[in-house]
Amino acid sequence: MKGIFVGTVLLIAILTLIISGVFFVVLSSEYINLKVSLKASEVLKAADIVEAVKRGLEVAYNYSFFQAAYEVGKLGGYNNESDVKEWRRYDATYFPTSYIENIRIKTENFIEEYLKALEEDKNEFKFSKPSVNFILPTGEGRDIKINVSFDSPFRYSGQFFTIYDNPNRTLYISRDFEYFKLYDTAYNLFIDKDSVREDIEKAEDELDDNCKVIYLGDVCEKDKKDIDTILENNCPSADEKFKEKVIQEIEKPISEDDVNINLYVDKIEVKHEGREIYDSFQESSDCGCKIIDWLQVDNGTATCDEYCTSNNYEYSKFENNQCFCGNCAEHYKKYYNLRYKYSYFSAVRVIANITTKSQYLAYDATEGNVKLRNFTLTFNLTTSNDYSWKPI
Amino acid sequence: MKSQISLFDIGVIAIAIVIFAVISIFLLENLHIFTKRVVVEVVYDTNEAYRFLTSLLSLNYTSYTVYEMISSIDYIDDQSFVSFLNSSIYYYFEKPPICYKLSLGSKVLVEFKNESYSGDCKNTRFNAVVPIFVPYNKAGLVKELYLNYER
Repeated sequence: MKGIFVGTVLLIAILTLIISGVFFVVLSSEYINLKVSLKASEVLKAADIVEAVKRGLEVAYNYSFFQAAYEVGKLGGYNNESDVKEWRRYDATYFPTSYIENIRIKTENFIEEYLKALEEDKNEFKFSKPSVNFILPTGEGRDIKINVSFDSPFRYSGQFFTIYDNPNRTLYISRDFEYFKLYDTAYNLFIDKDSVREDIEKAEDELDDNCKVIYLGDVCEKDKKDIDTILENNCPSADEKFKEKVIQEIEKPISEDDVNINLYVDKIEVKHEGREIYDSFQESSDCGCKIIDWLQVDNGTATCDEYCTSNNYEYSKFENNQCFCGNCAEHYKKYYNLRYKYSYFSAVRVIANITTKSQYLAYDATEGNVKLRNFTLTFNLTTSNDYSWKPI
Repeated sequence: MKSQISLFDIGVIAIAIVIFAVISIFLLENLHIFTKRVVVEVVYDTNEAYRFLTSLLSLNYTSYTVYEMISSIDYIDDQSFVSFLNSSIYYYFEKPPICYKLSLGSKVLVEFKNESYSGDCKNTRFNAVVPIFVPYNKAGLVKELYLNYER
């Protein structure tokens, strides 16, 4: 009996040991496994977040480029308002040759802003400073390459792990992207040639003929009227008419293949110059006598007038009890086929807006919103149809 | 003492040890399998939504990716894209889900609730949130994209 008792006690003791051992092993291993699994889960979750950010990097770089292009375009190819220059000042031209570089710098700044915003939103991320490099195609039909590179990989720092990945990307912007055509078109129209000057010349051509040439026929010099008075009589407010024509001609919207061109006259000065043209200018008896050769005579009992007439004098006068007879020594001259010709001059300061026909998402600081916008190249230019006249 | 432990006792103890050793081995093995299943489930559940969200962002919609479309959704009114999102999420599940909701910041992009579900599909078992770059503006360049669902 005693043996059975001892055996039973031993059995219970062993059983207790086994059960507690099993529970200890199982519970601790379960706890460790759970901890490991949670850590693994953290890593996997972080990997997915990193993956989502990686997908977004190219999008953010793209947004940065488009925003940079939009802003540089609005400043006429320049980076800051303080740098903005007129593209043309009469015969001197100032094309912003560094516009690509300006877009590059702005793109770089915007990318940095994006990455800073991400770092603030998710403290785990850390990026080094981006560097943007534009590679322009040399041949036809190739894309513009935009390399965005960093000194080091970006980092996602979890509590017990760090993920490194490559933030470098290359964007391809089609050479057909209308934005670049804005510059090409503007260069052709306002740098290579002066289309505003051509508009002014065209406006002058389109003025009514009676504002440009006034035919007066044969006119005695003493009857000739002031050149501006004649213009006012024949073409009232000629300068105003010319001004209207110039504005109308310049502000006429133009649409080319991929771009719309709108010019606005900001300031305008006009003037005209008149000159007289005639076939010949000769003495004419029709115009009356200019100089009379007087001769004092003794008219006797006849009146002075009778005396002079009877003696074949053309003119007579009685002054100081003396009679004078005279013949014409010189007649007034006559302009044969006299016409007044007027030239018109205008100097203008023009605001040029050249816009893409397609729309792209962009933020406008003035309006304070993001929407689909036509990208615009805006700049000023001053010119005239006589570069030596610079009233503006 | 020696004479007190009989051969019978030794036999009983030996049989008990063998029985409990066998039970323990099976018990341990079962618990090990259980633990493995728990671990896999924990890892899978907590990451399923993230994987789902990441793969959703990589899908192509016309010439744009879903990422690009979502990031600019505040500025582009494209109802067919919303339908595309809805079907992409709905057919991800083997069986019709109980609810799902995809939101960019505070804006709900797509939402679905089963007739029997009365919640707002917010604090769900499956959820993920990733940062999304949005078009350049002064209000903020990064927004959170949330995916919540129950299945």
